[in-house]
This record gives sequence, structure tokens and C-alpha cells, in this order.
Amino acid sequence: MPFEMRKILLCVLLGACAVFADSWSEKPDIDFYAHPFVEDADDLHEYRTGRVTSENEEFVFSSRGKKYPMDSYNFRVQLFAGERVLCVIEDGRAGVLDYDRTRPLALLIFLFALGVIALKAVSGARALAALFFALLAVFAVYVTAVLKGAPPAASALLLCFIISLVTLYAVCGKGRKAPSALAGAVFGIFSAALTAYIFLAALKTRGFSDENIQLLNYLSRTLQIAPRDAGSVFLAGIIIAATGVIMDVAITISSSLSSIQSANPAISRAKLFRRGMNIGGDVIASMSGSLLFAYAGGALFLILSRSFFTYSASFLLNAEWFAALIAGIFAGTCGMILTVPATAAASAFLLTRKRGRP
Amino acid sequence: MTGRLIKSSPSSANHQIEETEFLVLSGRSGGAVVHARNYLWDDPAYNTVLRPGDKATLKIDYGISGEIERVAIKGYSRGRRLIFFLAAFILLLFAVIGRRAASVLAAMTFNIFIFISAFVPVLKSGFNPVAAVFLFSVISAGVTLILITGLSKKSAAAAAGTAGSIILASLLAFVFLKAAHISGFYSEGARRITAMTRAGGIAEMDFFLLTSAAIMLAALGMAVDVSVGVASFVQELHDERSDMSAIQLCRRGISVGGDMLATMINSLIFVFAGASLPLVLNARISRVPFLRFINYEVVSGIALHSLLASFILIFTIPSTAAAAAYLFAGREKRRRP
Repeated sequence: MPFEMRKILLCVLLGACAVFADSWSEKPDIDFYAHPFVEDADDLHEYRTGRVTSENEEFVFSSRGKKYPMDSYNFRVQLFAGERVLCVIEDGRAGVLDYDRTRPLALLIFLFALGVIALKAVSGARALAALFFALLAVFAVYVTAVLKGAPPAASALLLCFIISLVTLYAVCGKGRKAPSALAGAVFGIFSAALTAYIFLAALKTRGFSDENIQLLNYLSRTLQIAPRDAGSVFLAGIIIAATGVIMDVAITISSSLSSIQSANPAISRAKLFRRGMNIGGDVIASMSGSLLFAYAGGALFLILSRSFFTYSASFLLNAEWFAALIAGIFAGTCGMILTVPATAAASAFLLTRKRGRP
Repeated sequence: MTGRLIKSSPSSANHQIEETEFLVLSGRSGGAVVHARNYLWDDPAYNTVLRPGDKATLKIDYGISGEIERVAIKGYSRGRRLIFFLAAFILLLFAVIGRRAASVLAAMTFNIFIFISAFVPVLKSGFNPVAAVFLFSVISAGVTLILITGLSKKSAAAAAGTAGSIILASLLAFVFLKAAHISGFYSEGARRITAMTRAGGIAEMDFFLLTSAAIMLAALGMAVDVSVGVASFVQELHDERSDMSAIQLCRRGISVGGDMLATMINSLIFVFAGASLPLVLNARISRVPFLRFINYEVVSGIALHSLLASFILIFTIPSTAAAAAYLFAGREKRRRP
């Protein structure tokens, strides 16, 4: 079975990579390890979510009014009557794969939308629409383009410009906030991308300590599918991750400045710029620390697990995973810092220029 | 330890192993010339490509009597360049925000220091992760607020706004993680921790609680940040127009906070979207159908993580705006009539 062989080979390769991502001190033992996607990834079967019921001491899977006898073994799922699970339907039997997690997820998304709209009715709804657009742009349009051969990092830069254009206009409306925020955000995104590129090149880091990058590298080479360069996908991920923070800083400053200017229309251009830098300084001060937390929280398991193999400070500073983790934080923070003067200058210029006209 | 490559020669017929000699530059064996094998793999992405004169990180194992037993190449040497980038970052910070950069750097250094030297060892010792992250956040948020905004009304408002929202959102997190059967076992790195636990030497860890702790940790900084942003705006507005009432200030604060939130959602979800880009590409390449994809623990775990962290921000804004407005204008307002 060639497909099975491929899976086994992949498991062996990933086992090796998962233990030592940099180099090997000796040939690694075969360490059985499988990424979850390898185990039952397949679009030939029908997948269904439904409820497990118990009939005559046998589990039965009921989905959309139909009932199927079940193959109840799966190491991921502990079956109980009443549990909602995901099954694959084959020859009239249901093989259980995993828990059904769509309902709590959908409920939480609903609560989230409710909370945002309750806090800020009109612009909250607009922001949610912009977010929906952005996620669609990343995971449908951009991913498809990359699979068709678009260069990952360069098109991520273009994608982020478009997303910030749409998001900032959706959130700020037609006023004078949007163009100044956009100018700041575009400058910030570009400098974050440049910083990340220089950092990764100088530190010879291509993200191969990340197990998904390893799998991507393996899959794209084996199946002859784009993207061929997994390292540039890693760079694209850093650019996309930084975009949100940069848009956030840009909008905070331009929104605060326009609010201050409308409260005191006589304020001078220099004073407005200084107020912008002042607010920006506060934002940077707390945000640079909080970005650290956000990345540390996202990578807590990774940091913990790697800490067992970190023998000294010199090992930490030279490790690829550490450089990869720092790359994201460094690019995001630098992009954010450079967004502040750009947005403050653009806001001060645009707000005072228009005021003189009527 | 860092070593400089002196010479390398392929030793096996298919050029899969390089026999190399290094001059050790630092550490206990500084000055010694050691021999190491550089294993090369079919996939060049995993190889450490070295030419004579290049530096590499070496791991030297010593025998009982102190002799060098084995030398392994652990990859490129990155430390010095990392420090160079750190210096560049400090310069940039000083250039943009001036003298305040000193306190920001002090806060960051403090946070990193207690993260590495206290938080991680405490987690490794098997202490309850949620309790550990709570202690860690109290200490670090307190020190950060005092160092950056000073002991002022602004930091008091920010602290009040943050504390309530963290508690509310962690209750929410507990309920939803249980409902979605998130065990934490499929997070990157969890299997390696399990392997270490089985090999012995470290305490058993509760991955579910560790996941909750990771959510709190990710959101903590953002929550402090949002609340400082809102409190800072209310103060600036109060300085500009001191005749505004507390209710007006609060309303303006929520309005600006709402604008911040509107992009903050993007900000948070983009951090997670960027991190999960390779995951989604893998799913598309492997042709995983959507219904299967969304029900993987990794995938729904990431989605829940970003949403639950966002809830902390949602709760933070009104509470901070109200606290700041009350502190800046509330008492004066009461005295005036």
C-alpha cells in the first residue's frame, strides 16, 4: 500500500524532526510520531457530526434523522451516550473520529459578536464584517493563491495592505481618521516585513523548528505542490501576525487625535503631533510588554517543552526555535513602534490642513 | 559553546556525513580543537551548512574524569547577532518614545526575568498552572503598571479595569474548554513534555489547566494595554477639556475603547491567524474536508484560544472607562453642585 508507506515514512521523518530541529548529534532512533492531519486526512469519505445514543447496549450514531451502527474505537474519544461526535460514514457504518466541537465554537462566536455589537453597535458590526472579510481573504483567497504558486511572503505583504485598507475604512468610516491611520499602518506593515526578513536572514532561521512548517516542507516536496519554500510561508505568517497590532496602534492614535482635535479645534499642528507621540508612547509602553505576553501565551507549551533541552543561556540564544519565536515578537514590536510617528505625523498634517479650508 | 570550523571532509561514500574539526572559542574547553560529525540529510532544509571559518554551536559532553567524550553540532551560531538586534531595538525604542524607554525596558527585563527564572521552573515542578499564572500576572502587571504609568489615578483605573475582566473571562474559558473537550494534548510541544514525563525526572502536568493558563497569559498583556489606552485617553481629554462631566468622559472613553476594540479583535485574531497559516496550508494540501478540519483539537483549540482572549478585552473596556471617568471627574462633579 503506497499511501500507507507514505504515512509511515512521514511519521518517521517527523519523529526525527520533532526531537532535534537544528542538527543531529547522531542518527536519531525511530520515534513514532504523527501529526493529526496525517492520520485521517482524506476527502473521499462523508463526514458527519451527530449524537451517540445507546440501544441494546450498543452505541448508535444518529445524524440528521438517520441512524448508523458504530465502530466505537478511537483513542481520542471516550464514548458516552449523549455525546456529540464526528464520524466518517463508510458502508452504512459510522467510524468515530473525534468530538464534535462545532457547537461550543459556534456559541462562543455568537456571544463574541453579541458582546462586540453591545459595546459599539454600528462600528462594532462594521468591525465584525471587516474581520470576516479579512479571515476570508487570508484563508480562502490568499491560501488558494499560494497553493497555485503565488510567492508567499510578497503576496502576504500585498494582502495585508488590502486588509488594512478595508478594515481601517470600515472601522473609521469616511472621516479624516482613516487616511492617516492607513498611512501609518502601511508604513508599519512594510517595516515589520523588512525587519522580519533581515532578522531571519541574519540568524539563518527559516522556521523549521515549527512542526507545521516541517510538515509543510515535507508535503510540498513529496506531492510536488506549491509553496515549495516553507521558510517564506513562515515569514508570511509573521507579517500577517504583525498586521493586527500595527492596525491597532494606527487606529488608536488617529482616533484619539481626531477626538482631541474636535474637542479643541484651535489646537496647533505641532501640539497635535506631540499629543499623538504622547499617546503613542503610552501605547508602545504597555503594548511592547503585552505583545511579549501574547506570543509567550501562544507558545507556552512550546517554551515549556523546549526548556527541557535547554542546558544554558548560550543554548537558548543559539537555538533555532528561540530565534523563530523572537522573530515574530521583534518584527511585530518594531513595526508597531515605527507606526507611531508615521501615524502621528499623518494625522497632525491631515487634521490641521482640512480645518483651514472651509 | 561556540566553535569555529577549521576543516571538514566528507567521510562516507554518499556524502551524508562530514567529518569536521572545530576550534572551541568559549566555555570550559576554550582553545581546544575538537572533532565532530555533521550529519547531512536528503532535505537540505534541516542541514547545518558550514564552510571553514564559519561558527557553529557545539554541545560538548564530558566524561567522569573531565575528558571530552562527545561533541555534537547543534546548529548555527546566533547569539551574537541576536544581541545586535536587541541593541538595535533598544535604540529604536529610545528614538521614538524618549526617556520613557528606560522604564519600558526595565519592565520588559523584569517580566522576562521572572518568566524564565520563576514561572517556567514553577510550572515544571508540577504546581497548578492556573494558580501560577495568576500569581505571575499579579506580580508582573503590578510592576509593569507602576514602572510605566507610575503610581497615578491612570494606573489605578487600568488595574481595576483589568482585574475584573481577567476573572470573568477565565471562568468563561473554563466552561467552554470543557464543553469543547480541549485536553491540551495536541498543542505543539505537549507530546514532548509527555515524553519527558514518561522518561521520568519531571512532574506530571495537567494539560487542560496549562491550556487555560496559556489563554490567561496571552490575554493578560493585551488587557493591561487596552485599559492603559482607555485610561490614557480619558486623562488627555480631561486635560484638554476639564469642564467635561464624568458621564461624558466615560461615554467618550467607551467610544474610543470601542474603536480600539474594533481593531483589537483583528489584532488578536491576526496573531493567531498568522501562527496557524502553515496549519491551514497543510490541511488544504492534504485535502482535509472543512467539517473534519474544524473539529480537530488543534484547530478548534486555536479558535477558542483567540476568542476567549478577545473576551477579556471586551470586558475590560467599559470597566476601565467607568473607573477612569470616576477617578478623574467623578469626585469633582459631586462637589460642584
